[in-house]
Amino acid sequence: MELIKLAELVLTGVATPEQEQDFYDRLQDRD
Amino acid sequence: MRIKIIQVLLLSTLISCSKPETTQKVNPFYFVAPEAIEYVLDFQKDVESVGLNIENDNISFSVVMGRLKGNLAGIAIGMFNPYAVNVVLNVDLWRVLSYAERKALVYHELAHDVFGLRHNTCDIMSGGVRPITEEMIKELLETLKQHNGKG
Repeated sequence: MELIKLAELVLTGVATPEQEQDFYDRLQDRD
Repeated sequence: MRIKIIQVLLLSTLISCSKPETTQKVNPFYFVAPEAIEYVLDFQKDVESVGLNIENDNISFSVVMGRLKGNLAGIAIGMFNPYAVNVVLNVDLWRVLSYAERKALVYHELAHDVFGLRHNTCDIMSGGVRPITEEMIKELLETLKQHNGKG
């Protein structure tokens, strides 16, 4: 899934725990 | 008659070949959270002072507030996308930061997202959030100029 889509799910609080973990894992170098 | 048609076709081909190429400039779409506007404008003014452009090739530019996990102060989601800037600032942390710390955070994330600048390339791109200084801004702008020159 595109990072921006994943971000939308996480930031609106509707991501599954797996999606949330995937999101934070992919943020390396972007924080 | 056939010669006439050929002449017209040749003429129209020549005309179409000699048309100057036009590139369509797309106006970027901006959305910046009201809390962050003054910091984004400061960043824009600073980068423009050294001949750089905050827009680059971006056609979508957003800086928003959001709830981020742990001690993440901000994220630059559009960092590897040349057409989009998508910065999210940690709203809970933002509330407790000083003016100079907020400015450091915004400059850090925009340097990532607008220019693709990586960690540890200069002081402001290293370590945690701390108050920005004039020296840090000067060093960042020098780094951005060199980085941009390299492409």
